[in-house]
Amino acid sequence: MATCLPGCPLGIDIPGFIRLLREGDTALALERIKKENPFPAICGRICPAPCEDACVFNADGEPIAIRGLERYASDFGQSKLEKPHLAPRGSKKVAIIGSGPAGMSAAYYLAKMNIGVTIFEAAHEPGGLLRYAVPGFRLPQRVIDEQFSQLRSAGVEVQTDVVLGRTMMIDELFMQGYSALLLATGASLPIFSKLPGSSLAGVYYDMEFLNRLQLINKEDIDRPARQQGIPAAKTVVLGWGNTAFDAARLCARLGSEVHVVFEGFEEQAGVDAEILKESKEEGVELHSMQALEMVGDENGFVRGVKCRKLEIVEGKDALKLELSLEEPVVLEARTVIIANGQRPNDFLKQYLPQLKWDEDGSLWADAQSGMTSMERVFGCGSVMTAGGSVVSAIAGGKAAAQKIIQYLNVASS
Amino acid sequence: MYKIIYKQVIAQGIKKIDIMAPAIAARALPGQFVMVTPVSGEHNIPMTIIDSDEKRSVVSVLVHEVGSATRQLGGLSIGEAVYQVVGPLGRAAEMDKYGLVICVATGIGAAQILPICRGLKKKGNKVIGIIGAKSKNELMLEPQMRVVCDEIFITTNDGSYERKGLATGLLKELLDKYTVQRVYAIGSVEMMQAAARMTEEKNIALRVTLNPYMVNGLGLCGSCRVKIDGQYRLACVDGPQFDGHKVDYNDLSQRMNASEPVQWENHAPRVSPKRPGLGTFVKSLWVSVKK
Repeated sequence: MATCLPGCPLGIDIPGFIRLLREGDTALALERIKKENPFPAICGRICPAPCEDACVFNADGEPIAIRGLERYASDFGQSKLEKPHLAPRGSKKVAIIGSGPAGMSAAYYLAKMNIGVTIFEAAHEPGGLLRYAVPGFRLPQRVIDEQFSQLRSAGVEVQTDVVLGRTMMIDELFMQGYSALLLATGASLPIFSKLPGSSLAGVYYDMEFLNRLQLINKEDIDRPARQQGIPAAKTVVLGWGNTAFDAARLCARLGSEVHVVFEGFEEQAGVDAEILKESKEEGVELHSMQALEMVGDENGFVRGVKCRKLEIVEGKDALKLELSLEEPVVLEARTVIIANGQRPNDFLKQYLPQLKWDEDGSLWADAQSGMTSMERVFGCGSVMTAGGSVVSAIAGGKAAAQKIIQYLNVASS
Repeated sequence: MYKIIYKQVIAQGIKKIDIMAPAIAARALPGQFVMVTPVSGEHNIPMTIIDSDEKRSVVSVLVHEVGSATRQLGGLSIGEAVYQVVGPLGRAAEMDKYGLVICVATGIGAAQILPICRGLKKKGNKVIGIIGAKSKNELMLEPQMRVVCDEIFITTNDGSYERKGLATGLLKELLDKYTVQRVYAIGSVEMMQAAARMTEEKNIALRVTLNPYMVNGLGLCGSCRVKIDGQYRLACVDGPQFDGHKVDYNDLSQRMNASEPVQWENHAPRVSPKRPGLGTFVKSLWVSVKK
């Protein structure tokens, strides 16, 4: 029994596609992946690969590089002669708010079932956080553009510069004949930190920092980086997780000296071993410390972070980290990036007060029908889970699409 | 899309631009703003909608040419299109019939106070406007303000026009003289802080408009966080108007500071639009005729 299978939220037939790759049939392998995952080019690059964690080879050695194989299949298995499949539009239309991975995957599965799909995106280019947060060295712009051209050729319409609740109201959408609305607005608003001095100039949150650099063009960040003085100065990243390491690696690649500070062991960094290894190679230094406060100068600019070291202590059954009794040290920095996790945008709560929210800040939906507390309004992706990986967003979009199809079928019969 | 249909120089380095945007013009309310990207590859600028005309499907914004993006926008001529306009964003200004209202603005804040004054007037309030400027040639929107306010006072720091002094000094005088129901203040942090102190003494409601550094205006990044009543709020989603007595002004000045020297615009190379104007065209014609 392959243990990687339950590891994948999308349920890709992993042993199956690897067998096809071994037999040399890359195109067929890609087809096998695409059965369950519409965007192998994205997952092959930035998926946290829970399947590799579940791999049987993990017990005595390194797991099989499933993500790498997926990327290979997606890059080389694409048939050049493949005709775009133009889905005939059915009479039903669904509006999707947000063009991130969750919205993309829902659009793909709805369009496949001959349902007309329009994605509304507030920014000028679709892709959501894939475009504005994930750095270009992990996911090039070209890959995102390719996915959208494939979606468009499958009959999905994308409207940019439209903000739900500001440019377009929800009633108008229903008046235009959309039978259902899917909220895939994601969760990108940073959870604000209570550390003293987090208002100093030069202190950014992870999303804010990535957004500032990459809003214009993520392949060409030299100018915004130079204007913020990143290459020459030292950077401290407080926190862990993918966005923390994305920001840290981005700074390191720009020539800054980067220290990542978080409370915990290296293995608890919230990223897979490959990213950890690569970021060390790029010169990112990791510290197990507790951040106490930011140190600023008289003009209100950040100059460093005061931290207390953590020491490894032997606990009852495992090693533990405890605060050291040494004097706190000050890590010098001109840029401090706080990675404190994200939550859904507040605007949705303001605009649609009738929506019900869970205690952890995620959108509530009925488990059976997938519908939120508003009639005809569904949700998927990070807005439902208050953060998560790309692969879980794609899985969420897929599940929501099935729920919507089920709802539309019931409504029409 | 987003064609510029009219452009006018209002004051030194300040231009009023009318942009065609039907969806935005139909919805814009006083106090809301738009995010404008002048050309592809530039970053976007938050701009207050100073006027919107649904029949002509036009929104008007005021461009203060201080950085690369704003200079690019100011350099676009009538008939050209702006790359992207998103909006209307932010909450509309809170307004009702209150009675006597004072609206005070300094510098570029005059652009933000104008739609609020107009809205208040429409609701049936008596509106007293105060605009402060450094000098006469930096004063703007005076005629427009005269139309929408019942009474208007102008102060200049150097005394080159009307009264010499600060707008807050005049505000204090007026607060002593009349029973005022509400004050709207837009300007520098010090000015708004002073207004907050004055109104708090007299127990008068104060609304301020904050302008922290904004990245995308959609509530996604938290760049425009301001501390209100001990909690962080986003100026792009919850604002830009806030209760002036609840704003943490020390925190705000730190946040505003954040955008100053490191601000992208100030470090960007000066970009002048490379487009031959009518002048050069006529000159070249003249040269060819002379030959």
